[in-house]
Formats: sequence, structure tokens, C-alpha cells
Amino acid sequence: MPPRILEILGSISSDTIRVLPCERLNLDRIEGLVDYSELESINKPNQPFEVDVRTDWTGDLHSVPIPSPSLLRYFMDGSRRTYRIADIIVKDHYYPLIAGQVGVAVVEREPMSGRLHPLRQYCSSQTVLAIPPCFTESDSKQLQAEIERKSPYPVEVLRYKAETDKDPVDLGVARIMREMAANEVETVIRMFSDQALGNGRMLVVDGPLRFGQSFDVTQFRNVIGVSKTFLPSLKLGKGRGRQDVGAVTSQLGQAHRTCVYKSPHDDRVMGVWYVRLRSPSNLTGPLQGLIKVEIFACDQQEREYGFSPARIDTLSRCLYEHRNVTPFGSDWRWASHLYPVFAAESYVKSRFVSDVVFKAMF
Amino acid sequence: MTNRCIGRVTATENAPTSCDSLQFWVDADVILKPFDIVRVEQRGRDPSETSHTYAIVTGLSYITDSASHLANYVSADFGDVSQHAVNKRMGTAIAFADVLYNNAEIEMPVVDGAAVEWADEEGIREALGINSYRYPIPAGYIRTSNGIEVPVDLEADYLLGPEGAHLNIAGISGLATKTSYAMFLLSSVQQRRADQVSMIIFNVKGQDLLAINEPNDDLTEAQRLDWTRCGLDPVPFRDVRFLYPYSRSATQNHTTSHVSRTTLERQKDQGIARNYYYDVQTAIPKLSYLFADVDDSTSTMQSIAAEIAEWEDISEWSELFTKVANRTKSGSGQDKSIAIASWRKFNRILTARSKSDLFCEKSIINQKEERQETIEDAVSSLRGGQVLVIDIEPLPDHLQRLVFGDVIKTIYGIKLNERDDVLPDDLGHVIIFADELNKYAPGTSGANTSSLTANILEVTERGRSLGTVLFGAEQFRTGVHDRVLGNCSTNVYGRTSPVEIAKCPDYKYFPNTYKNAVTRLPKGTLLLQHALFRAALIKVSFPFPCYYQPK
Repeated sequence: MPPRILEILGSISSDTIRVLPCERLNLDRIEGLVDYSELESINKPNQPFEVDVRTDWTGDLHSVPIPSPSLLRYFMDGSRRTYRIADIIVKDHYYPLIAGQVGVAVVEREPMSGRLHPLRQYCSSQTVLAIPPCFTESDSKQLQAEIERKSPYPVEVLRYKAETDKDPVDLGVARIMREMAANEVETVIRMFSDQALGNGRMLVVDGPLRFGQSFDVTQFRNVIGVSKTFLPSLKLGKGRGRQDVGAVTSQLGQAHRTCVYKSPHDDRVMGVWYVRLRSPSNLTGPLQGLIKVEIFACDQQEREYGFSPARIDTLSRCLYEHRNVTPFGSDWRWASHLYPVFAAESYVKSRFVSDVVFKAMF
Repeated sequence: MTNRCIGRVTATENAPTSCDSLQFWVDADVILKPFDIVRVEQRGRDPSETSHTYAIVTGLSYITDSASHLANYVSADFGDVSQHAVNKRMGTAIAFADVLYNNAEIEMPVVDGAAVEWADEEGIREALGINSYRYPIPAGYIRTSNGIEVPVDLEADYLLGPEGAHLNIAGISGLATKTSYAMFLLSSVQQRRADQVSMIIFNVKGQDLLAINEPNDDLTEAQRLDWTRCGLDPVPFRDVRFLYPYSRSATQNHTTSHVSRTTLERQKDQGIARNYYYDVQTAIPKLSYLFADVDDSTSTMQSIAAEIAEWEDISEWSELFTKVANRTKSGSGQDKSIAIASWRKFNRILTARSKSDLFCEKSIINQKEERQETIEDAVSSLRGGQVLVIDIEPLPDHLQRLVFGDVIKTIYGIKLNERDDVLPDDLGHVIIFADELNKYAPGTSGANTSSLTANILEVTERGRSLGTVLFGAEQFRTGVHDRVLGNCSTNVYGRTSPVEIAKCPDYKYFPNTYKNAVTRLPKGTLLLQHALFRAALIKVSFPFPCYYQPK
């Protein structure tokens, strides 16, 4: 019987590390914990960011021609499942030990049939172990080597950094989230390198386009981020024209969009806008049926003057066309969910091992 | 196109695989149907070996990730029927299958993800157990969804005895399936078992079976190929004789049969057509069959018939009628155990039912009248390899029962070695094919079983060891005596109505898909159950009759 991961950890330095068994909790199933995936970007959208906007522009997408086939070909979702697997005492410090499964899946929508299928070459999943900052870089490498030598289960060891006044559980989970985001970025770059992406073969990424790392935005030219949830109290615009997102979106009718707002992010510039997929009359809340869309400004023209309204209209119309079918009854966010993203999410989660198996590994 | 992976086994918490059943999702490009047989990857006795489990598809479903019908309604913009969703919902066909066989005799459930392939011809025959038969009798062919046609056989030891015997075919009329299949199987037996089997066939519909010795010139090349596919020659029956009911009318060729004049003349020229009649001495021991349908809760009619059978010195029908009439008069009874009223009832029925030209004596002088043969004599002269067709179509039901009962009694008498002039083995195995079996062994007979039903029960319960085999057919199995059906080691289910399926307990073990399938079986297709099949039921097609069927 192969040793469990915790046994390997305890055996490295039994003098200085005490592994304390505890109930292995799936952190994603505990209410009250922070939903790390839906935190709003701290970069506030500050000004409208479109060029040559017509005076009679209303944001109505009904009259916008529908591209055929749809420009949106690929859909990506990153997912993670985190567990508190043990507590450890290292040099009189008490830490939780967080492990998880992270994965990325890309599905392709066949233009004619509408059928979805995963692109296996862009799908991945891995098991990770987030260790506290008391472990040095060399400790981390030694633990990684021991696991590879003794365990049949491939586990990636990650170190998270200490931050004062932050719960180590949150820090461990955030580290695992960063690993997932890194996998997403790496996947996009591979798709770009493989020339899978193009103007008529765009990739929709689930969630905001903030990955916490640097990359060349030109590789993200044909990538848009779509978020199902957002902070309605976020301020849009500047000065007297400032409005909360919730106030702006509440005025949107079905198949309408807001204008694009500029959202600077480090050295990158992003456009952010909102689209209403469904009429609020059939929904249970004012924020249901809305999506937030992000796209990087890639060329100099866009970075300085903003996006072409026609391009944004076309992308918005494509997104609107993707509103059906829905995961109604399977996901509470169904009204804002794009079904291919839901399919990618279902696929990546189906590749995770069950809680029982995962806990048994540790 | 064999050995192509067409799906993979799926085992879940709620729907595990078992040693009896499995389910698999089906490749989107594959077309599958119930009764298809598939081959599933399974471990071998040694972990390094693989074996194959064969399973028959019992049902198909299509599932999606939609949580409810309402989710689909919502997905159409809350019920907009003109809305076309850009995205196709995730979904797959799931096939449900019953395990038939594993070639390494492993009964462990197949595991999740195991590859599912089409079974090839050899595999299907192996899975059904057909390859190990000693004396295979072709019984049709299976047509699978991947385009292969696999001949199917029955084991003669279980169709004709001694291990098992008897065949029953049920199905609604008008689809040319019951009789056609029985005749196909009889032809198959004649071609494969040659002189070891004799056959008695009752014609009950028009001229259906009155030219089975003549070829069907309308048979197409494709229809001939179906016969070849089964390993048989598309040839009519050989060594056939025909018996027609006698009539005094010379204008009707001295028969009430509806056989065409040209056919009859051709048969007479060949010396294979004769008329049958009942002289009193032959008929007396079988009189009880004339009363088989009469309500006789105290068996009085049977008792009278039995008493009459003891009477001697009756040489003409008029003598019998007179003697019976005498017993109906007050004060005439020597035997007080049977009331006068019962004799009167017997006399009334006998008088009414014997008003037929069939009941006459053989004329010694007037040979032209062609009162040629009694049923008893015709059956007694039957030999292995021969076929005797008895036309009972023009007769009323009570006379049909008499003839049928006569045949059963005569054969049984021979098989029990009660005759001096015929040996039990002279006839070989005897197959009696009777349509409308419900007339002779009705399911509602209850505790009071008529002498005819009792004889049929005797045949079905003991006949397999004596070499007497009943091929019966009827519209509804509920109309036939349970014990007759229970003794059939081969059962054929033709198209039937949903009402019959609900009423008949025999259909209860059918999977729902099979129940529905049996209500819409096309012409020339039926479900077959045989004692040696590893599958409860298989769906077979069979060739078009290759004998002449006068319109």
C-alpha cells in the first residue's frame, strides 16, 4: 500500500513537523467562506471607452446582424476544489494544510451542429498541496521530490506567502486559485501559439480576465472574459456622471448593452461592458440575466481611443445568441450562464476525483 | 463492420452494472436498436488476459443534463416555439442490455468505461449458444443494426423431443406470420431431418395450405437468398398427400373443400388427393370429440359417449341413431345412472351435428363417389418424411374438433403401441400443426376439461418422449390452456395488441421495450424463445414461403 501524502510529509522531518490529523473538509462546501472566484476587480472602470459612437446609439442589439457562424468558437473554464486536509505544527507555529484539485477545460462548439466537445489537448487537471511559508523553497523542493519518489499520485507542491492579518486558510486557497489562473493563462497562450484562435474563432473565458500574472495581451486579442456575477455597487465613470453598476444595468432591456468602460490594469487596458441576456420580467432579481464582459485593448488605437462600437455590438450580439440552452435547475446562476461555459465547467469537474478518493490520498 | 467501439459501459451509484445487466452510452454516430447483440470488454481469469461478455440490448434512452422539462421550456426563452438555441444540449443515448454469456465463464459485472463493440456473426451464435447444438434446425435469421445477418437455429432435441418439444405461435391474424413461420419451420425440419419426421397439417383458411407441394413461381431472387441465408433450399414440401372432406355432391368433386378444381385434378392425377369420411365404426370411439364444446359440468355427455363406445354390432349410422333415440324414451333405461334427460340432450346434439355428408358408410359398389379413406386409416399409413394435409376449413367447429381429436387419438394409439398393424416407429416423430389451437384446448376450460383438451394435454405433457409434437398457433395466448403453453419448449410471439399484453401473464417478464416492440412487429418478423437460447427472447426474420399459395 503506497504511503499517504501526509505520511511522507511527516517522515521528512519528524523532529520539527508534527502532522495533526483532522477531519478532511471540502472548503467549497462550507457556507460563509469567501467565494474567491467572484471577487470584483479592484480596478474601477472609469470612463466610456468607445470611438465614434452614434448619437442615436441606444445599446439595443436586436438590429445588429448575427454573424454566421458565431465568432465565439471556444469556451474555457477553470475550476478548483479545495480541502483542509490536516493541521501541522512547525516550530511552534500552527498552520492548516490546504490541498486541492485544479483543472482547466476548453470546449469547442461545432459551428453548424451546435454540438459541444472538449478539446483534450487544452484540458488539464492536477492535484496541488499548498504548504505554509515556514517551509523554505528548498523544503518545498525536497517535499516535492519525496512525493514523486514515494507516492503513485502526482502532487504539485506550492508555497504560499505569509500576510499579516490574513487567515492562512484563505492564503492557501488563494495560492491554489493562482495556480488555476496560471493554468488558464498557459492554456490561452498555447491556443494562441497553435493558431487555434482567430477573429472568427474567439475564446470565451469564464470570469474576469485578471489572472494575477503578466502576459502579452496580444496573445489575448481574440479572448473575452464573461462574468456571471459582479458587484452592483461598483462605480462606473468619473465625476458627476458616476453611477453604480447596478443603477446602469437595471435600465437595460433584453438584448441591450451598456457602453464600454475603460479599466486600466497595470500596464494593460481593458474594456468592460454589461449585456442583458434575458428580460427581468421572467427572473427573480434585477441582477439576474446580466453578464459582465471584458476584453483587452490590444493595439495602440484601442488603447488610446477605445473600442469600435460595431465590434462590441457584434460580440454582444454573439453572446446574446448564446443565451440558450440554459442550465436552469442545475445552476442557480443559470440566467447569466453561457451553456458552453457550463459544459466546460461540468467537464473539468467530471475529471476531478471524488472527495472520498481525494481525502484517501492524503 | 465488426469490432468497432460503439460506446462505453457506464456504472453509477444509482445504476450499477451487475452480473445480469449493464448499460452503456452510445457513440453519437451509431444507430442501435433493441435486440442487437454487443460484445463488451471484460477481464479474463488471469489479470493479463481479457475475455468478452455478450449482451442483448433491451432498451434505449436519451438523456441530457436538463434538470427538468421546465428547464427546456425556459431554454426556449420561456416557451417561444420559434426560438432556435445556438447551443445543443449535452446528451447521449444510453443502451440497457441483459448479459448473455462470457467466453471465459466470468460472471463478474463489467466495469465502468469498458469498451462496447458490435458482436460479429460468430460471436452472436456463440452468445446464444447455437454453435453447440447437436441437431440444428434453421429457424430464421437475426438482422443487426450494423448490417449483418446471422442465421439462428433451434436444437432438434428440444423441438421434436426427447429433451423438450412442442412449439407455440401467438399473434394477431392478417400479417401472414403465424402460419408462414410454422410452415417455414416445418420445411426446415423436412430438409434437415428428412425421413425421421412425418407431419400432419390442418388447413383452416381457404386454400392456404392446399398446394404446399407446388413451387412458388413468384419468389424473387432476394426471397430465395433469405432461404439460402438460413442454410435451406427454397423448395416446396415433398411427399405430400391431401385429405379433403367428403361430399355427396358430384358437382363439387365429392368434396366440400374450397380447393380449386385445377389443383385438385392435378393432385388426383398424381394420386395424392383423397376424400375422408366417417363410417360409424370408426366414429363411435371418437364421438366424445363432437361434444368437446358442450357445457358438460357433470361429464354426462362424455359418459354417454363412453357407453356408446362399448356398443357392438352397429354397422350403420342409422342403427346408431335409432339406438340412441330409444334410450330417450321413458322407461327405456337399463342404466339408471344416466338420466333420460341427458340421453335426450345427447340425442339432440348428435342428431344436429351429424347432419353432414362426412357421416356415411363406404360404398362398395359406387366407387365414383370417392368415399375413399377414414382419417384413422390415412394417419396410420403415414410414414417418416411424409406430409399429410387435412383440409378442415369447410367444416363447422364441432366437426373440426372431431377430426383434430381423431388425429390426436390415432397417433397416440399408435405411439402407445395399441395397434397391431402399425409400429410406433413407423411414423417417425410426428408433428401436428394446428392453427386456432384455442378451439381445441381453450384456456377457459377450467376444472371441467373436455376429452379433446385432455388428449392434447396428454400429447403436450408426454408426447415429447413418444415422438409426438404439437405445433400450435393462435391469436391470443390467453385463449389457450396454460398447461399446453407451459409444455412448449419453443415459443414464438408475433405481433399482438397491447390489451393482450396487459391480460396475458406470459408477457409480464418482457422488458417494457419488448412489450412495445411486439405490438408493432413488421410482417415476417417475430420474437423467438427457445429452451436452449441464452437470451430470453430474440427477434428473428424468416423467409417468404416458397410453396404456391393460391389466392
